[in-house]
Amino acid sequence: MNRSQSVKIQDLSTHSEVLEGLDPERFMKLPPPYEDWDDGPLQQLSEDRKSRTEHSLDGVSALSLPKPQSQEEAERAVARFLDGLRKLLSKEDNWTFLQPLLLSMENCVKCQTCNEACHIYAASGKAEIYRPTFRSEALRKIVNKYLKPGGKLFPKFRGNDIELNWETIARLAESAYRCNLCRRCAQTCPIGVDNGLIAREIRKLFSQELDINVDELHRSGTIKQMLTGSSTGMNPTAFRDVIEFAEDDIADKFGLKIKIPIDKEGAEYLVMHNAGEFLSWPENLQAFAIIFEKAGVSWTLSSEMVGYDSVNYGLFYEDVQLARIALTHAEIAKKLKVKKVLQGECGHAHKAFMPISDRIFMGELNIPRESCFPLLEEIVCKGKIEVDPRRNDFPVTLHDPCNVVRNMGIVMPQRNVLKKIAPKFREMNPHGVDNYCCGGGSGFAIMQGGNFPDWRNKIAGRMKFKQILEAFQDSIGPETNKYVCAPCSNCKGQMRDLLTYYDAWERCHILYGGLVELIANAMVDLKEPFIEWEFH
Amino acid sequence: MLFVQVLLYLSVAVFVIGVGARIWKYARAPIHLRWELYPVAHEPDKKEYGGSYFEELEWWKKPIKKSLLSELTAMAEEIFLLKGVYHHNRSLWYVSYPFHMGLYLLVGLVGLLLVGALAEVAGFPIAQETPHAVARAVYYLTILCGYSGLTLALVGCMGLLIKRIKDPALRPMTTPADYCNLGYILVLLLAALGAWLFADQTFAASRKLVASLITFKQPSVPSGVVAVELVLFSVFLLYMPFTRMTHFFAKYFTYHKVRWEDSPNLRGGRLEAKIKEALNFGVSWQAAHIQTGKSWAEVATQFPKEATK
Repeated sequence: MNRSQSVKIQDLSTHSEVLEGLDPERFMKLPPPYEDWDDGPLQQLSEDRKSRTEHSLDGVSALSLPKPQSQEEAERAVARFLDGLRKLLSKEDNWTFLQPLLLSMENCVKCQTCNEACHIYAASGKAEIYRPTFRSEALRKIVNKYLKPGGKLFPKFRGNDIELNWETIARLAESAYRCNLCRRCAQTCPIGVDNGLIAREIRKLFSQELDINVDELHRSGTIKQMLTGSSTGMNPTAFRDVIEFAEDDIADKFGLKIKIPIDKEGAEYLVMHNAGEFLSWPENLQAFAIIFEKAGVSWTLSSEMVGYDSVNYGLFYEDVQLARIALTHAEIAKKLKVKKVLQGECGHAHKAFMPISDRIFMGELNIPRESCFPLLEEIVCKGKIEVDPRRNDFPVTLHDPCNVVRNMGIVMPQRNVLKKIAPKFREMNPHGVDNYCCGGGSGFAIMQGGNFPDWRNKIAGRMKFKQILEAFQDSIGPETNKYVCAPCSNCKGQMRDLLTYYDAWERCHILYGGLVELIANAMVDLKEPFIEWEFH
Repeated sequence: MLFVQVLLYLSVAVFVIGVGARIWKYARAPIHLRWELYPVAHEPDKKEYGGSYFEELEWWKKPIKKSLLSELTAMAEEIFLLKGVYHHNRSLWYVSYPFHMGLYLLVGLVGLLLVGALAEVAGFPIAQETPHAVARAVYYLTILCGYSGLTLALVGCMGLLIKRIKDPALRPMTTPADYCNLGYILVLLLAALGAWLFADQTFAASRKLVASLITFKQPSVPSGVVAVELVLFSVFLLYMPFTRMTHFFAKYFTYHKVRWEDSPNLRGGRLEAKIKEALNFGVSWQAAHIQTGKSWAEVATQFPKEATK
């Protein structure tokens, strides 16, 4: 179906190669120097992959969902989907989100106020299938028609005109992975309906009932984390090697002899980092270590399986894995007898371990949990380390991780730090709780299969890239180094891919990194600049 | 007019039971995981920029401050100004606002008719020339509420209908039933206009009708057009609780029980018992890594071998 024909929700059940193709000509335009940027057509899946896996929503495959081999297999999947839907609406199976789900399912007045809030819908040139209400309304139609008494009476009149078949559920499953779960749409809803929640609930249904989930999140994510200790595959021995390397690196580069504490019982803080930092951005761990050493913070890392990786991808797709990892983290903190747990620069880990899991922790597992940002604010703004802002004399803008701002209300501490250490700090527009997602949220940043990364860069991340360019318009040329402070591992992963796709280092000298790297760069104790202006 | 009387009693009963059942369903839902969205209105000092107590070090040692005034202000702005629609969907606000204000005033009209009927039953006539100032105020307020409410609701309803037909964002999401709902409300409002203009300009007959209803006497319906208005109104009450129009009370839950629900689970606090109860619920999800048949507490603390396959 091409874009000139308007796609309807009931078209989800049609047998067609692709429900809605994407036209680069309609993609949201970018500011200078990208006015003439040519995205080219969306990367196509190989013919072999097309023949094997579902891609019929928009030509993209996030789930690598195999096509059914027989009609019976397809019918079994549809029946299981309906079973899962019943469970999603039951108190016992879904107490975790039943009340918010029912409220969102039963009270949308279809005013479409949420549409403009969605960066994916806007960036795609308003593709109908990315409308925040599209998948939610599809799910409502299915519930109303197939689960409610009399649902099949006057289906067209009542809007229950949807057929449930393999195409419908396969497209619905894929559609749940075209939403970053950033909840910007929910923020604008006058009723309080949450399309982000509905997208997550659809992911949950598929994972918990049909075992359909994204490999990077489930098998290579939470399962691998439980089995090896980290979603990166890093085991405790490798973790200790990483820490040794970090200590050596700090000594070599800055002449500082810092012993990074591991398994120190009774420490004030058990600091939990996203283990992706250790491998992709070890400077983040090093900056934390230097700052805490100089500020005299009592802290430790854990070398226990799972304990050295704050990642909890369960947040993105189901409640069971979410709970298992959160409880494992809490158990480790309890065993170490730390006074509190501190979340490093990882947005989803903040949200998973602080507010979301708050209501599964009982008794001694309910260990006090803090964000790193207020602590860094205290250290920098109350003079616990000496900083010289002139060392950060380059344009800096801040990307707000959705999980930290809109979902947790941690807005000012990181800004107060930047105001103290970065004289050329400027906000993106909009920012704070009104920010746009980087496009890597809800696991997208680590999903590398098929043509999904191409879609992510062209569509999901486009609004953020536009915001970055706008923030640096006064010095957009490559002669000025510029820094996007993205204090979140997943956001950084997305920044890396986004800036690479748009060739933004070469064309504009835009680098990305965390907050602690900027703090360390301003520390007078370091003889050499902490930030190396090399893109990686 | 026994038919109208019975229909009115029945529709009010169904409305109350229908709305009550929906409220009960939402209110009785088990505790859920936190899913708040900032700004949270009751944050006393940080509401403007959307901050929370998570911005504080050792926040759990400090008293959690909640400003009822801030929350009430935010609610009032949402209810009486439709602030969210104003900021995020201005073109819709121009028609939605008069519609909602009109409905509020018409609800006010029903309230005033009830007050007036009670007063008349108690021997205080509601009329232009009554010596009681309060009774006179009720008389004039009823007329003011009625006609201003009806005018606003009519304008808004027509505007909403036109917008749903014309707006390319709204049209594809609007079902025939949605058009019928709006169309029905429009017909009801027009019938009310006709009834008031031709048979009950000062609402005296409506007040008498309410008085008959609350005293269980057979009402006298002054004309056919009033009977049509009453039948249409009754049918509206009968089906309204089963539509998305229930958002008028659901909004309380979406805001107070989800969006602004930031109560922390403190050790020994009031939430622990509810969480304990929920963790004992059975799990019947079928994916291999779940372990169906166990309780949530067991499933969350055991990692099955099947998951590794």
